[in-house]
Amino acid sequence: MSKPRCLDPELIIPISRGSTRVFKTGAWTDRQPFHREKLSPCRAACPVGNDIPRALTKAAAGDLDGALAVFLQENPLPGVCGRVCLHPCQPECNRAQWDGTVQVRALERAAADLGRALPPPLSDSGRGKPAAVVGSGPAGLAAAFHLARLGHPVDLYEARSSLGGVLSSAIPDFRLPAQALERDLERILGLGIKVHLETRLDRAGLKELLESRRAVFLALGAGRARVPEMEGLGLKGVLTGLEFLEAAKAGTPPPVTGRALIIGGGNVALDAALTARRLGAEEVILACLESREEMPALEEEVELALEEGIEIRPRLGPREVLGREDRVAGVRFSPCRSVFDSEGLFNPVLDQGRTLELEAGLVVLATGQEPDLGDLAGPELASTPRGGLQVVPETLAAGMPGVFAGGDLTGGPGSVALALAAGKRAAVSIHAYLTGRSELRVPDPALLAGGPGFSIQRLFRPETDQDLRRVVAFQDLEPLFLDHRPSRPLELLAPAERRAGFREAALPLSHDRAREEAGRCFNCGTCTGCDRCLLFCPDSSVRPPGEEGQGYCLDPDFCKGCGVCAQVCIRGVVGFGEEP
Amino acid sequence: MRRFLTGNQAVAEAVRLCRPGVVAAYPITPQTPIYEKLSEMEASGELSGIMMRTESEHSAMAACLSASLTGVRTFTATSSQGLALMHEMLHFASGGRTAVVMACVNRSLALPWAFWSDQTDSLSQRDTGWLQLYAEDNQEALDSIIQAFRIAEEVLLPCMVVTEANFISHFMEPVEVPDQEQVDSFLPPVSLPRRFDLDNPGYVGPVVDQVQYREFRALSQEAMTLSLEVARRVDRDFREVFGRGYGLIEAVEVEGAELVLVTTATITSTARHVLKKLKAQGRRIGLVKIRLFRPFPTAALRAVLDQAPRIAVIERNLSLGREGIFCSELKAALCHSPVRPQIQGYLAGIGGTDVTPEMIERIIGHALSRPEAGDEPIWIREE
Repeated sequence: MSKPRCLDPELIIPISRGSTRVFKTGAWTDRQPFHREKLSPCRAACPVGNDIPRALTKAAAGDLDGALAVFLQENPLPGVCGRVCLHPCQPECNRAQWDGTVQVRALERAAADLGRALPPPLSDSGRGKPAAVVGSGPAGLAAAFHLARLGHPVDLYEARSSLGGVLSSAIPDFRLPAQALERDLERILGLGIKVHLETRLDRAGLKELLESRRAVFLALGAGRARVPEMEGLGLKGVLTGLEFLEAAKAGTPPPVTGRALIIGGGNVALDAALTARRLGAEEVILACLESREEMPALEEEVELALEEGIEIRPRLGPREVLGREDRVAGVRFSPCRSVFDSEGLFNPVLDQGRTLELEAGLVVLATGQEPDLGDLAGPELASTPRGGLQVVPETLAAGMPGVFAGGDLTGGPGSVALALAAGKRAAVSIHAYLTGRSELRVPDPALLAGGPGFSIQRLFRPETDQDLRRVVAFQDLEPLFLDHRPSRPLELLAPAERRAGFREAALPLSHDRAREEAGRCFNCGTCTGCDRCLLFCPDSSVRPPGEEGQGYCLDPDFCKGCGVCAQVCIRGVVGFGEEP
Repeated sequence: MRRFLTGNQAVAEAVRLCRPGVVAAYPITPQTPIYEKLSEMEASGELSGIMMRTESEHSAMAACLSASLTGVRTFTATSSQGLALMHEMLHFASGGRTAVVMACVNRSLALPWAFWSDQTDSLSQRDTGWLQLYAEDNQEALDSIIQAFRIAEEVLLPCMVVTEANFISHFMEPVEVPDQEQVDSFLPPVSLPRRFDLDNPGYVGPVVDQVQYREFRALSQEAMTLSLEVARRVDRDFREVFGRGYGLIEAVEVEGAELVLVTTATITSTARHVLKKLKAQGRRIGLVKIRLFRPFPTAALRAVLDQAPRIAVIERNLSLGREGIFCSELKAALCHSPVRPQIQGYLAGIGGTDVTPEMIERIIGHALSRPEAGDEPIWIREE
């Protein structure tokens, strides 16, 4: 007896044996998500424009070569920045709102020290269009580096006998060992830059240079100490911060006995204090105008100095250097009531009626530097009220055609990162100038969060259509997928070991430790190929990245606009309901 | 082997003897002892297959029906709120033409919160496409489970065996527990369509159009109709193997009776006792027990009730705003009877209250004292 139809397994329930592709579920919606990379807050804060989340994606996979290659897209000096950068990225890290910032600076150092990579070329359109760079500090090195990557023949002029500016002459070895700078320089010079050492440039030299090179970038730095006027500056044992650090680094330090008194609250002052300690000062006092909270030095560096027994005396303004015969004997101070005026300008007010004297055998005045224009200033090359060279901020073009300037030379309290940023900006302007463009400014799509920072890689070799205007906020991340994994503290030499010599104080991250720390990065705004959007899509409408390098894309025939992919993207890459 | 068991224990023994592949359940009073007993059996190795402790009854049913679609024998048990929570998945189980077997221990639905016997929970699932068998005592509970697997697997429809809170679930009675060989000879190894076949992949449950939907319903209705005959045959086979049978309904002394009582489940036993006493007094009162509720055994009921002048339906359930549900069903079943019997519904055991012999005598007296039955049900309370 044959089975009745109502019991025939093939007839009694609906089973689809074909594909569901016939159901164009995309017709159900008028809203669709989009996959577009955005900007991380760390990169938005980085003057150099380092693509930090992408570099750390590589590092987290154990690929430090790849991480270094990413850093080199924007930064010629990863080994230097990995040690001395003021890391404005770190306070902005979204992870800071979760379980502590990612140690970006230490990771950049790890990539530079342990990774192997060459700077990726950007373009060959600069070929046959030579440029000159004067000054080999971070600004000059960055300009030379990027100009060379753009194909320009570059001549680099340096007044001293070695490259690096303050990096080689003044920053102490315990912060930046010579080998670290050497490795960065090797990569830069490998681009074919022609170096002219011990070549100082004056007005006549500049004119001459402009005849053979249509564009010149001036990056002379700020080599002249800015010292408050007072009695006793000429006594023996009174030095400026740079003088002291340069002498110490050159192996010809002044005699350091008894108490050393360092005046200033910035990082140069701290370096001077730590150097004096290492040179044998029995006691080191750092006196500054600012309160402890107002000190411009990095808080973490101040903590380390305190660990080494350096005493900090805040809110003191120097009035007079005291002497015994021709040698320094101490400094007379008055209490400082305020450092900045109501407009926020540096304008210290001292309580003249009260004084305090501190004895000292060495006094270092680390109270700032300013540019030294020499005979360059004139009607065409105007100077600023602060003694710098005047330039158009967006292009760094100076008054004389073909002359560009940046870094500490154009004024303002500087940092290595800001100088690198200026060098990069100058390279872009000079490239535009030499290739005959009328617009020298960086175009908008390359600006990071509207500028002034920008990505030179995006400008010349865009790899994705990343939206560099939009910064991913912590609220854009999906906390359901975030784990709690606080950073392990960075390791340092013990204070006693640090004081005993000039060994680098910060210990390196091992390869494994770097991988672990980089793994903490949320990669805000950067697609890491985690596949969550693809795996969670209920309609299989997310297509994986193709071989041509494009990212995930959505098939509008099937995406029914549920928004799950945007919800599960922990990095804020997949958006929903906004304009792409 | 004759053992002294609660109804819940009897159900668990039956499940064990039927060798299920998957048991998925969630505890709820008064069903929990079934779940616990099966867990013990699993732990001791007596229970074949795996036991899934799911996070809800909804999930339990989802697991059972999915497992059934892979071709294994599946069982679950629940009560009251748990059954209500399962409701959505009950439709999936029947629409997917699975053979899930469930023990439902009747319990009052909240609110008010209570734990007493009331059939409204299972009767509320009337239209989910499940077969429903109502057991009178612990032995019938055990036997019905074994029958249910055979019926369900033959007609490819899920089957619910309904017992009662306390009166069956927790009361102990002597129960004949068959041995494994007997059950194996009655219930063949499972043979269900395997819907998860790597060599013949398919998507179960795609969208269908209106006509397709209608035709699937028509096939399910055919299978329901067919299952009347299958259930009758399975019960007959069961009697041959085990010496016990129950029919789809049971009629007692209905021939020439002046009044026929219609009962279900445990009220039936009390009614049997009353009828024995009245018979000795020369009274002619009949009794019909309805055992199969879905599909409704209309033909079987008409065969025994078409000539009855008066019928009293004694209920332990209530469709608020109408009457006892068996009464409504019976009225509909007999509307073409030539005699057009007077059918009166009595709400006697609502909320799990005791339906005593005295109450049943009162119902008989009331039913016989009135020339015509009323449309509204009559509440019977303690005096």
